[in-house]
Formats: sequence, C-alpha cells, structure tokens
Amino acid sequence: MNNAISQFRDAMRSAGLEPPDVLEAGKLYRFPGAGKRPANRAGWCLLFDDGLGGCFGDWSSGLSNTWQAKRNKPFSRAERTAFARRVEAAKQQTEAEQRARQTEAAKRAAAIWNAATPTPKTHPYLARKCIQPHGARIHKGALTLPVMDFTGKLTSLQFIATDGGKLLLSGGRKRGCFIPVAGEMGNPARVLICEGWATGCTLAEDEPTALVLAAIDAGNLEPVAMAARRRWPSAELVIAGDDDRLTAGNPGATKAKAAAIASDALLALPQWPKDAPEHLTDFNDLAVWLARGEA
Amino acid sequence: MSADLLKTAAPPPEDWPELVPLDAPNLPRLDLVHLPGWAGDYARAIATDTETPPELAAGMVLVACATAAARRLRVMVKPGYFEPCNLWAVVALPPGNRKSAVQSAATAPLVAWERDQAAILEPEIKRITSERKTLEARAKEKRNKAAKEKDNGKAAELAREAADIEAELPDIPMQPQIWTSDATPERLGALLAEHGECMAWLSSEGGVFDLLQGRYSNGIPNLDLVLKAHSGDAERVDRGSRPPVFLKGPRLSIGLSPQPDVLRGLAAKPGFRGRGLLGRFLYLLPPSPLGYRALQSKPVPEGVRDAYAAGLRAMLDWEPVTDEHGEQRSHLLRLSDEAYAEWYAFAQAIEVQMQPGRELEHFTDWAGKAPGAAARLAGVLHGIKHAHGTPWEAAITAETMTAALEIMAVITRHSLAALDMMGADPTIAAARLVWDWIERGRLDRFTVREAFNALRGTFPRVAMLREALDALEERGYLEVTEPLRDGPGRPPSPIVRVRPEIARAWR
Repeated sequence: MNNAISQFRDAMRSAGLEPPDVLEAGKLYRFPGAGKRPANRAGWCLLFDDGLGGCFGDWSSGLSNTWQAKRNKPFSRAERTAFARRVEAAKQQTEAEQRARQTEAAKRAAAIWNAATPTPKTHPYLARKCIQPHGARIHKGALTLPVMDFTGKLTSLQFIATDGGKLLLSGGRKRGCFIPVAGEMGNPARVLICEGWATGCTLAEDEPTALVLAAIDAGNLEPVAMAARRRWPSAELVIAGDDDRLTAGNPGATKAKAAAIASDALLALPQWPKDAPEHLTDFNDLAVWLARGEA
Repeated sequence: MSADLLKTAAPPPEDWPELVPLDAPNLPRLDLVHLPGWAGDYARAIATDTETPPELAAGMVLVACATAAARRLRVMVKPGYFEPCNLWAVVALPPGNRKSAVQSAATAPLVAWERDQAAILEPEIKRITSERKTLEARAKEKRNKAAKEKDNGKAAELAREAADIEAELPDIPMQPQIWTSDATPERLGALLAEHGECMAWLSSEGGVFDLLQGRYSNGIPNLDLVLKAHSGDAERVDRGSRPPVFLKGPRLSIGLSPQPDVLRGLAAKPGFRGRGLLGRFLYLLPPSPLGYRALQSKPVPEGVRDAYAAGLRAMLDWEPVTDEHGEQRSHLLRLSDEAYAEWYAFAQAIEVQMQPGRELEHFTDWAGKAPGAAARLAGVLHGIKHAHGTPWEAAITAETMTAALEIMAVITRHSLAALDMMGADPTIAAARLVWDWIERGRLDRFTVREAFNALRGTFPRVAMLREALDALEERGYLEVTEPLRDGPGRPPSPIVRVRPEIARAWR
C-alpha cells in the first residue's frame, strides 16, 4: 500500500498539485489548490481502498484526473467499469462537499454583508485609489465587497484591508462570479469587465452609463466574460485588462486577450504615456497617476 | 470628467492561420511555355484576346490536338503497355468568362477540316447515291418480275438476281464528322462507328454530365461505351431498336468548360465516382479574372492563327498505317530511355502518395490513371512538335516528357481540388456541409452540441461532426476551444468560433 500511496502522490505532483502530508486509502482529502494559500481547499484526492487506483483534482483550475496502479495484466471490462464507477462516486462526493461548503460560505457572506456598514468616502483606500465607495461596506475595518453570480445570488465576499491587502471569504464560490461595481444588470448596452474592484470603480467613473463588473483576478476574466456574453448576447463587451509589464508572460494582458477572444469582446489595455513609471499596471494606476499630475 | 480610458478598445489581435479556401485553394498556374510551338503560341494569343485564364485556352487547345492525335497515334510506354492519345479535360470557370469563344477558337480548324472533307467527298457521295438508287430500282424491278412470274424456276432466278444486286449495293459515304457537342451515349456509339472510331465531345456547358447521367434514358446512366472510349477497349452495343454497333478501339476526347457549380456533388451521382468516370478527367480550376480585365483585347495575330490551323490540319491529315490485312492501325510512339525514366519516376511518386494517410489516399481512382494520362499528354505534345512530319519516326524525348509532367503536376493539384469540390474526399464534403450551415445562419459562435443538434440528420455521431470541424479548423475557417469547467457536473460543450474577419463581413 505504501508503494501505491507513493505512486499516487507522484501522479498528483506531476499534475502540479502538492498532496497532503498524510494520505490514507479510502478517505477523501481536501488541500490547497495549485498555487493557493494554506487555508485553501480547492484541491481534492481519493485513493481507493484497494490502493489500485484513485482520483484527484483542483476546483480552482478545473483539473480532474484519475490514477491507476501499474499491474501485470490489463484491466478486464468489469474492472474498468468498476473503476469508472468509483471515480464517478468520488467526484460526486467532492462535488457535494464543494456545494455544501459554498452554500455555507454564501450564508456567512450574507450575514456579514447585511451587518456591514456603508463605507465613508474618506476611507484611506478610496482616497489612495481616487475612487468613490460604489456600494462598498465596512466589516471589521476592511472594505467589504459582494461577490455574485449571474443569477444575482451572493456567493462570497472580498475584503480589502486599509493597506490594500485582499482576502476572499473562505469556501465561497468565485469562479464565474464577479463584484458588481456600477450600472444596471437588466439590459446593458456596454459591459466593462476588469480584474480588480478599484479598477472597476475608475472605469465606472470614466463611463457612468456602462455596466462594470470586476472579475476579482485575471484567471476569472474568461469565465465571467463568457457568462456575460451568454447573458447579454448583443451587448458590447469590453475586457479592460491589466498590463503586468514587469511579470514574466504578462498574465494580465494575456488572460484579458484570451477572455476577449473567447467572448467576442473588445480588448483595452492601459496606454502608458511615455514617462509613466513601469510599476503602474492597471487603469486605476493610470488614472491616479494622471489625476495627480505626475505626468 | 471622462478621461476616455477605453478609447483604444478594439477586437483583440489574433494569429489565425492562412485561410485555405474549401473550393479553390491556392492552386498553381499553368505555364503555357510547356505547350510547344504553334499550339502554345495560339493558346497564349487566345487567352490574351479573350482575356481569359491561360488554363482555359490550354485545356481546349490540348483537347483539339488530342482529337487529331488520337486518330493516328498511340504511345507505347513499355512493351505490352499502350496508351491512346485521347484526353478528357474539364476547365471550370464561372459564367461570363467567354468560355464559348475560347472553345470555338480552339476547335475552328476541326470545323474547317470537316467542311473541307465534306466538300471533297460531296461529288463522290452524289455519284454513289445515284448509283445506289439505280441499283435499288433494278433490284425492285427484278423482285416485281419475280412476284409476277408463274414459272417457279424463273421466279427463283429473278429473286436471286434481286438479292445479288442488293448485296452489292454500295455504301454511301457519311459526311465526315470529328466532333459533337450534344449526343447521348448511345448516339455517340453510332457516331464513333460511322467516323473511324475517333470523336471529340466538346462543350462549354455541363450538360454532358446530364447526358451521362441518363437524362434521355430514364435516369439510368449508360457509361460503358464512354468509359471504354477513354481507354480504347472494344465495345459491342446491341439494342433491339437499333442496328448493332461494334467498335474495335474507340477513342473519345472530351473537352468541357462548365461552371464550377456543375462540378459540385458529381461524386454523388450514381456510378460517376465508383465506375471511374470522374477519375478519367484532367481538371483545371483557374481563378476568374472577371473584375480585373483591362477590356482592351489584342486580336490573335493572323500568323499565329494560320500556324495553328496548319498544324492541326497537318495532324488530321497524317496517313494511317495499314497492316497486312489491309486494316488501318495507329502509329506507335516510343519513349526514349530518358523519357521513360522520367515517366517511371512520376508513376512511382504517384504510387507512394496513394498509400493510406498520404495525399492521394482518397483520390486513387484519379491518381491510378495519372501516369497513363501523362503518357497520353506526352504523345499529344510529341504530335504537336512533329505535326508537319512523321512523329512515329522519332522517339518521345525527355524534354517532351518533362513538359508533359510539368503540366500534369499542375493538373494534379487542380484535379485534387476539383474532386474535393465534387465531394470525393468525404471529410471535405462533410466540412462543406457544416460550413454551408454556418454560412446560412451567419453564425459567429456556437457550441459543438448546437451544431450536432442542428445537423443530426447528416452526422449521426459527434465524432463525424468533429472530423468536419477539424477540417475547417485546419483550413483556418474556425477555431474549436474546449471551455474551462465552471463547476461540477457535465462539462460544457466545446465552443466553435468562426474566423473573425469572415464573421465581421457577415455583420
């Protein structure tokens, strides 16, 4: 069995996941997804009782793999069927757990959101970013923002500390969900989708008639853009990407372009004036820099 | 105040592969330098005069010359393997491309030859007709007398005399004919029998395919005679209502210049593909110059026209070879060793490409005949070169064979595209069906599931639809992306996105 556990771990590592330290056969484990914080539980794995196979995945990236132990003879048809059944059962179990976690997180989000207070315009983060509160609330001193899905259901919250540090409510659903920044969801003519809330506020103030959605991070731009396209087939979508010029591969621009292509949207990236410092990355950075007359 | 931050918003730049059209991929052009002497000069001059693609003139001139060459020549590729010199060519062009004018110019010497032959034969036809009428009257008179004669012995004698006269009735020579533009396959058999077993079927329309499909025979195609008249195999036609026709070595040349639309779907016609009819044609699909013509034609120089007429006339006037039984036979053209080596290398290259997974896998019916077509083409080019001499006394040179193979190289590319267009490659045919559905709906984005639901009658399995979509993706028409899972449950269907520039044009 130890050999099977070791092989199973290797398979997970080769898929980019770091398996939990302790692993027992027959038990479903949750652990941080690829590149996630220690508290994250997007990763999951199950080694079957007999140690002959297992499955694992990562909800945050959509990864879902199976693993089979090496053996001397090929699986019979009956064995293959049984294996597929066990994989399906494991997936259903993790999905059920995931849904339960998300439901629980949504309840906590609603409770926190309902108890939170309006944000004063003088909040240091707003002042630093030169933006209005746009419906943000305060919870335990942090700016609190609702994360919603396209049915209008609150799924999670984002907290922004005074120093700008950001946290998502543990267990809440984020993929394909967004922070509504400004505008009416009914039948918008123009929808602006960006990564962060502050960028969204800047765009909303620049274009007061547009519906503005913040996708929270670059990896979530495409799911949000695709869902927006399904919801508003004839609207003009604009993906307002970040320009991570100093990061290898420029993930902000790359994922914004992919989202624009996938959702048949227009793409906009910040157009930097010649003397703009290189650490500026998004439309909020650009607007703040222009507003302060640093050009 | 608005800073107009998103003023640069635009469709994202994308790297799409070069678009390879389904119907007319970027095909090589035919260089008329490979057509020797007077034939090449004339083809160039017609193309200039009519402002048509050189492929059209080349195709029609080649068929006209093949019609003449096939009467007297055949090629011995190697001992025991012979090819006649008749060619079947199709040059497809949209309407308004002056196809009839080109065909008329290319076949003018054939028409003139028929007229001249008729003039030469006319007194003879009149004389023999008169003689025949006289003999028929005498036979009739004898028969009448026999009928009235009471003496049985004398009656039998008179009847025998009438029969003897009828047996000796002279055949009235036919007005010579070497080409037709409209004949049923049955009538074609009779024409071949009446005119030395060598004919050309020339048309600037696609009605020939309707005739072959059995327009006048209740939709039952009668392809036997036509197929045998390509290979020169003997054919006997026995029909209750008509006199039997026996052809020892019929040679039919075909030159068609239909609209590309005529070609679509031909592979699906009963027997056309399976019996090798479509595989016998040499296809050319030149781009239409309409919209880019200078509309200032330069007439064909008189010298060039005369040289063409004289060259073709000389080919038509070659003396046949007569064997020891007094029967007319074709002269035999031999290949030089170098020419044979060139031809053999070509045949080998074609052979390999017919293996599964190679380029000619789906075109074996055409490719299997390509080496034979190359030999025929070399025979015709050799005949053109030696039109005013005795081509059978010189071997086909490597230079002539190279020219034939250069032409065949272009024809091969065009023929594959034409067969694709006809639906010979099932994947391309399927891709075209899918693309038609996309174009009709002007769809810029859809899921594979949506396409499958809409096209379920055509594609019973998703895998078949995916093959068609893959073919369209390879040619740059669309892009299929597997969407990211956005939660538990059934994975979303792959998304198909149409090339943005095409989708934008629809809007």
